[in-house]
Amino acid sequence: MSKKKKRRDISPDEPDSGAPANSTAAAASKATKDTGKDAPSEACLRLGWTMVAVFLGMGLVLESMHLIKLPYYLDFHLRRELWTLAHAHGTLLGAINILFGLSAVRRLTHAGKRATASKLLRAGAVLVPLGFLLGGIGAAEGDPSLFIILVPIGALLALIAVVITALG
Amino acid sequence: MSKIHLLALLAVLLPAGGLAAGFLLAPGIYEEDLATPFVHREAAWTGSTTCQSCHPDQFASWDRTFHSTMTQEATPKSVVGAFNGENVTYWGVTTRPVRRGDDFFIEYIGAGGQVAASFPVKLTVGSRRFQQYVVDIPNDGEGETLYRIPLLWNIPAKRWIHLNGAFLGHDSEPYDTHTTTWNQNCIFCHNTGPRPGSINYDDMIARALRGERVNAEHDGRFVSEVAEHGISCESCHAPAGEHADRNRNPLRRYLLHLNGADDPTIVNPAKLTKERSAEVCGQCHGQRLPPSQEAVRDWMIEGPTYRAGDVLAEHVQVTSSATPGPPHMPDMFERRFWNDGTPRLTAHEYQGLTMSPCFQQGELTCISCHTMHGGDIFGQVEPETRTNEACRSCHEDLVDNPEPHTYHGAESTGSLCYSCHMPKVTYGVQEIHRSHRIEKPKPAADVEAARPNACTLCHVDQTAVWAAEKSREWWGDAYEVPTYRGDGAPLDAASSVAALFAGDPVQRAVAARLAGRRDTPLSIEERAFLYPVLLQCLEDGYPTVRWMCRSSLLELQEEAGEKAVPGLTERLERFDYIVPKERRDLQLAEMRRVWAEFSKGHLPAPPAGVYVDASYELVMSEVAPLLALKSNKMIHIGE
Repeated sequence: MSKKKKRRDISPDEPDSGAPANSTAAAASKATKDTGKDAPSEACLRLGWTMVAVFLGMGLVLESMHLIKLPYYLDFHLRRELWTLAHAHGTLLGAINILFGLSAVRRLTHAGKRATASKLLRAGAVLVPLGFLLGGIGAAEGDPSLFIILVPIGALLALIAVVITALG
Repeated sequence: MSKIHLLALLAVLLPAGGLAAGFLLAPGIYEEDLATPFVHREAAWTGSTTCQSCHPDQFASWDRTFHSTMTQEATPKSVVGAFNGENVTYWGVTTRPVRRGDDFFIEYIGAGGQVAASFPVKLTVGSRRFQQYVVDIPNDGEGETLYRIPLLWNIPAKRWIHLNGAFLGHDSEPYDTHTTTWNQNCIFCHNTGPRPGSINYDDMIARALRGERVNAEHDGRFVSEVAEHGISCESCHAPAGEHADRNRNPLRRYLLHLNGADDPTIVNPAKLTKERSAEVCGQCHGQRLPPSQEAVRDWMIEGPTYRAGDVLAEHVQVTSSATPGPPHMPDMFERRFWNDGTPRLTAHEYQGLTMSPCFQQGELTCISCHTMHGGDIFGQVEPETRTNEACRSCHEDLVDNPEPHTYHGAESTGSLCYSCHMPKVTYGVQEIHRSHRIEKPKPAADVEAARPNACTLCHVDQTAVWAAEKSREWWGDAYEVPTYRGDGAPLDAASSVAALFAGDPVQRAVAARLAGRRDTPLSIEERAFLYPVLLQCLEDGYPTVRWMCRSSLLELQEEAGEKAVPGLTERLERFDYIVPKERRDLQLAEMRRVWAEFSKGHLPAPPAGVYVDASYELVMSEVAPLLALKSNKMIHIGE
């Protein structure tokens, strides 16, 4: 209750009232006003918890593959490494999304920036583990498959989002 | 568009654009590179750790094999022998393996018990059955000369033995018979990228031409190098320095991944023709010589010129039974083959394979059965390849329904393809291995050539004539009946027993080792005649043959279980096959006494032709002439 109240207290109305920079920001601001929740933050929270659930689940799957000594996973060093990275990055980026959802309103008082950062962070959070996961499927000897290109794209998007959030 | 959106767009477009550009440009950039034949001999060696960074799974599957630990620097991790300071005496020479800190030494002990000389151990060779040691013996000139000493560690038996006991040496051979210069012998096949670096080869030749006495083993001086100790990636894939350099560029790598093209900078034996592929293994598993006197000089200085993928015959002379030996032993190479040209020592697997119809007329090559990156580490074969499935690709009907072909039960050893077509007739340090010449067993030709025959190695109570007649009955008149035995024994002798008494050292070793096999149609009682025969052969002049006899007697005892000869197993275990004769004779007399007490009255009548009477004693009046036929010719193993 207190959190809700607090968030409502510092809802982005004041700084945003200087007119949102674009329609996204305006929509974000409107949504916040209508529901009492900050839509970009909510989106990150939703995605963040979903990712934590999915990638913790993936951890169980990986453990199971160890349990049954699945050669497809265990005997291919690169696939094992890439999928471990997908598991770790997915969980970590999910947690960063949750942190963003909890702190964005305070860190990013500009609704437009907040909306953009949220989108970039979510895109990055999805692309990075997806790139690692798919990179391990169809990987050639010594090199991941071309889906690995999703990783640097996602990493750059997430980095931009984090920098925006850091700068406020 | 805001700066943030622009940045985000760039974040997506730059990697994606780079990828697209790579797709479009790479084929043109690398067209010439990939189309140009590569001369592997000119590439630099790089070492397995470089390979590991891109091929970790292949590295790991190789690293677990005995190839990787074939030669190692002597360290506390690699040395497995007992360097515990205890004296070891063979052939009257006492040595003391001793460890000081992390260093290992072989001390030679003088008559008074003092240390006459102490040599540091530099390298170890082998890690499976035996570990040999290479010591640095200081010389009076430049360079370094390393010697493989004749004392070696028997890993499974956990004891020091002398090389006479592993290399088919006779008791009469001197202590130093098998001492050899590592720099100009072992270096070639037990390392990757060997370069002996002789610094006085020309000088030795000049001295020899002037009529001076030159001993290459003693006088050679070297500054030797190897690309890597042991048999590593580049032995089979060719020097990979250029391959690693060029493939640091991801564009090149992904182009190769995506278009499936072969990389000319590296050799994959699986993609070579059967001949080139077999030659990769044949560079070491097919004993060979430098092809000319000029090549000897090149080998001694720069090392062998063959690289994986080359035509082996352009770089070496593969030995055969017709290869002339050195002046002091003109038949040195002939002795390494059975009289029909089949190799009878290990490290000649390439010669065996290339004599096989499956290679000559089919597509069989080494990696049809063996795998360097899988399977068990002992034979480097997959479990399925140890069955008839190995032959299915060409002989499906026979694999599915063997009995009409083998005349043995489908589950019998006699219906396993390799039992008859790859019999165990090949000697390799203290073990008998399968022949790699895949052939039909021919009882008449085999016995006339004084070589073991697949039928009588299993049917140890039978004669070669019996085997020939059975063959004629089953497979037709092409199978002739023998008219004599190549070893001079009578034709009515059980073939294995005759070989044990009258054969040459390899015949005797094969017969002695296989006498203990369990996959025979005879019950343990029906093989009781082997006891007095093998006990007699414990007197053999070759430690290795004695070892084989002892091993087979122990196998028989174990198989016999409750029917085993009481007290014999313990005595056999105490019997030391490599100590002086006087000590062995005492132990042997005890074992004969135990056997004589046991064998009285309760065993079935022995079969004919095994020289054992109804009381299970050897008929020495008939055995003695056979023993007189025994050949003790030296088999120079060349390892």
